[in-house]
Amino acid sequence: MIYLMKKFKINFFRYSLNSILVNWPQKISIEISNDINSFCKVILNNPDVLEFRKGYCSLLIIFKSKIIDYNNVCDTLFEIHNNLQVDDINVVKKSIWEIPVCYEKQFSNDLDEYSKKISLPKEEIIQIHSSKIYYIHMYGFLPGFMYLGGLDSKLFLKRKNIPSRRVIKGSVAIGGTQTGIYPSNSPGGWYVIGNTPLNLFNTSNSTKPVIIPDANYIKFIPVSAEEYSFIEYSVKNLKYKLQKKDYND
Amino acid sequence: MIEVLDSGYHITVQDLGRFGLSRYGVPSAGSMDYVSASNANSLVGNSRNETIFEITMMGGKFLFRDDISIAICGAIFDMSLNNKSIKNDFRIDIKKGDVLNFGKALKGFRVYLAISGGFKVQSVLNSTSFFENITSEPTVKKGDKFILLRKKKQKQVNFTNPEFIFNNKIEVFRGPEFNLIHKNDVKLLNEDCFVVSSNNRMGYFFENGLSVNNFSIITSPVIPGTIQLTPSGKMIALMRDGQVTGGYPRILQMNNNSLSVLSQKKQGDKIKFKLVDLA
Repeated sequence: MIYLMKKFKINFFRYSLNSILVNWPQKISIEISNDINSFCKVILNNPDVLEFRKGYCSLLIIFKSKIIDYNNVCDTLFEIHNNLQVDDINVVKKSIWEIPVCYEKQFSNDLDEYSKKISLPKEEIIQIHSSKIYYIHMYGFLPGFMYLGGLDSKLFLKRKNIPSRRVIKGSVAIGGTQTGIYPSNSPGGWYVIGNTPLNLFNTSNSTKPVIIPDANYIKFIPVSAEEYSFIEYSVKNLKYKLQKKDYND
Repeated sequence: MIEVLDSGYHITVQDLGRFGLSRYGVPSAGSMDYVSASNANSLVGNSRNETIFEITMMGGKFLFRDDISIAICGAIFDMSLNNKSIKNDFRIDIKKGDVLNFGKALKGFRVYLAISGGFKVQSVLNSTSFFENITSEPTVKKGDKFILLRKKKQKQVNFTNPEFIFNNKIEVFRGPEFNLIHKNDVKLLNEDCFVVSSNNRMGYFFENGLSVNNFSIITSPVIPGTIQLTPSGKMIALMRDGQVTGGYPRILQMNNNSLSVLSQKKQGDKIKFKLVDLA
């Protein structure tokens, strides 16, 4: 399948001695993400680039050394973006990765309170949450934390006034207009509605420590507490095989 | 070998940080005060990126089980070697059995202990810098033992004036959302002193701030040194362990030298911003 490419207007901001912020139109959209991702792919091969940090609609390019001729670098970046070919875009097929989640009581500390606050029964929350697919815009907040797009607006709820001191690893939670998975124990202000037994961040892989690439989709698959234990066991023994399906627009 | 007899208030192991993986949400980490860490490493012939101990606020006792040279730079601590007081910014020859003891920080907040030739710490994701959930431990513990590496000496690098970090001027560039702030607040930024209320390796917080506001941005990248403006008007200066993205306006940006200066401030200390152009 050939994906149609949409290019957006970009502008540059000198962020620090060795970094440049590239801004896309300030809104959250998969088309913008696609444009950023294809740009990133080319940028990463540049020997002067140390690394980049991605936002929903911006990109911070960090160079290995101080930027000497800022205008010249911007011109080059502008040209790279301008010359992106259809072939550069989305040549990698996107997948929908299946994340097993147990929504049962012992894994969903905040589900009762959340259910009351949004006035929806728990069963319906779980049904809505697990029927959608979510796009991974980028990683941030914590090592291996995915910024996901696609939460049903019926599930929106302002985050907790007082954050929990400790949200446990694997917690699947909702806060504001977003849903996400805590890849490690952390303080957090979102409502925990379930937990996944998967390890989403692997410190032994020093080139790509995340298991699921960004710019892909995930889907939450409800599992029972019994299935959860079984998956947890096979994850521990490195026998669990993450399931994925092809994504077609 | 070096044995930790007392792990003090907060001791970590750092190099210059973890690079190349921030797009997976991995923070830089690394020495809070690059200037002092580099000075200490340079005094004992190490490379700038050599692993070093970062000792914060108070406490820390090290037993050396081998002869080795060390150097201590950064904050001025009440410290002693075998109960005899010692000073920063010198190369010190240690004999087997010597005990190095850190008391309270008298001036500044973070001190760096460099060991000639380095010591062994497992590198995780391209760096030895401790970070919770990445390295096996977030801090140095009592009883920890570190093997000396005795790497070849490096060419001497530049030594920065150690007084530099005790200044209270923080040079800052305009951040991408600087233009959101009101004229009166720009005046405040230029003229007022800001008082440190609390700090850790992730960020510095201030008692006073700018006007209450309702600015917000779509989650965007940040780096160590980014100063965010929260809706309450208070600012958060992101430090080495700070997260890689944020949703508050980025009004100012510090350079590495400013990060070093701020890293030496503690609760109650006053700083002044100095807006400079990024040229």
